[in-house]
Amino acid sequence: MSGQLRALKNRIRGVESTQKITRAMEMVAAAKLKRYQKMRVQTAPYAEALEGILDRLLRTDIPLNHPLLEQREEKKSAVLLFTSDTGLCGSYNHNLVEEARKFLKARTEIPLLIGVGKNGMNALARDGYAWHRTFTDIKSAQLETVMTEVCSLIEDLFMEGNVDAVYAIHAGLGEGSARRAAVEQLLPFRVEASSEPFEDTGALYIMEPDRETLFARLVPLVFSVKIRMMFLASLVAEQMARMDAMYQATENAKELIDTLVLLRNKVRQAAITKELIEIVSGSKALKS
Amino acid sequence: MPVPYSLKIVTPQGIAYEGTVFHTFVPTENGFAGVLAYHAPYLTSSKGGKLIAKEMIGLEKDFRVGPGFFEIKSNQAVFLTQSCSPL
Repeated sequence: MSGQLRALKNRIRGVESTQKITRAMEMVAAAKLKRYQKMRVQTAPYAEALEGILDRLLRTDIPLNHPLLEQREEKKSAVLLFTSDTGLCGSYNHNLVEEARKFLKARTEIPLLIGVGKNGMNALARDGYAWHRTFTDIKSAQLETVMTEVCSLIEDLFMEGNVDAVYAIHAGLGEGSARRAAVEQLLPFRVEASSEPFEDTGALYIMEPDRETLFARLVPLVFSVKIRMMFLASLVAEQMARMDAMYQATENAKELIDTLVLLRNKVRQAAITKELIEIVSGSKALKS
Repeated sequence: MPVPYSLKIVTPQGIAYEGTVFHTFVPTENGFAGVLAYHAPYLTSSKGGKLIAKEMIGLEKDFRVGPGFFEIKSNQAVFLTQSCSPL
C-alpha cells in the first residue's frame, strides 16, 4: 500500500512540473504573439499607403507591364511552405503539411520547394521530396533578413524564367483570426483596382517621372510587403496555435492532478483504515 | 507666415516620423523637389537620400531615407520607404 502511495505522489509531482512547463510555454507564446502582432500593426500603414498609390495608378488605365505580372504557360512552378521550427503547437504544422501533400499530389510536375520552418521540411523530406531552399532556425533578429531573402529568391526564380508560377501554402488569418491552411498564388502577381468608389481620378495627380516608371518601381514594393504580411500572419497563427495547445495541455494536467489527488487520498485513507483495524483487532486479541 | 501641413515618413517597421512641417525637401528620382502647403496632388518616386523637413523657421529635421515614394494631397504628405534614419 505504501508503495502505491509513493508512486502516486511521484506521479502527481511529475504532472505538476509538466503543468508548470506548459504554463510557462503558454506565457512565452503569448509574449511572442504580442510582438508579431505589433509588427503586423506597424506594417499595416505602409501596406495601406502602397496599395493606395497602386490603386491611384491603376485607375489611370495604365498598361500592366511588369516582369512580375507576366502570365506564362505553367510548365514549372515553385511552392513556398510556411511551417514552424518547433513543435508543440497542436495541429498547426500537420494541417499545413497535409495541404502541401494534397497540393503536390494534384500536380503533374514536381514543383521547386522552398521551405520556411523545420517541421514542414522534415515531413516532406520523409516523403522523398527534395528542397530547393530552406530557411530554418530563424531567430527574431534575422527575421527582416529572411523576409527579404525569401522575397528576392522567388522574384529571381520567376523573372529568370526558372518557374512560371509561385504558390504559397500558409496559415491565413481569416475572419475572427481563424486559422486555416490555404494555398495562394503569389506569382504571376495580380494587381487590381479596388472596387470602392473613388471621387477624384488619378489624372489630377502630377506624376513624376511618369506613370509607367512609377508602376515599375511600385510593383516590387507591393509584392515584398505582401510577402512580409504573409510571413507575419504565419508567425502570429503559429503562436496562437501554440498558445491554444499549451493552454489545453495545462488544463489537462490540472484535471489529471485532480484525479490523481483523489486517488492518492483514497489510497491513504484505505491505508489508515487498514492500520486502525489491525491495531483494534490486535488489542482485542491481547485482551481475550 | 508659411502654412503648415502634415508629413509622415512610413516604413514597414512603423511610422518613422509624423509631424507638422512648412517645407519638405524631397530627394526624387530626377533630383530634389521642395514641397510647400497647398501643393497640387503630387506623386513621385524617390531614389533615396537626404530628406529635409522644416518644422518651423530655423528648426529642421534631416533624415537618411531609402528608395520609395512621396505623395502629397490635401496638405497630407506621405513618404513611403523601406528604411529611414534621422541624421
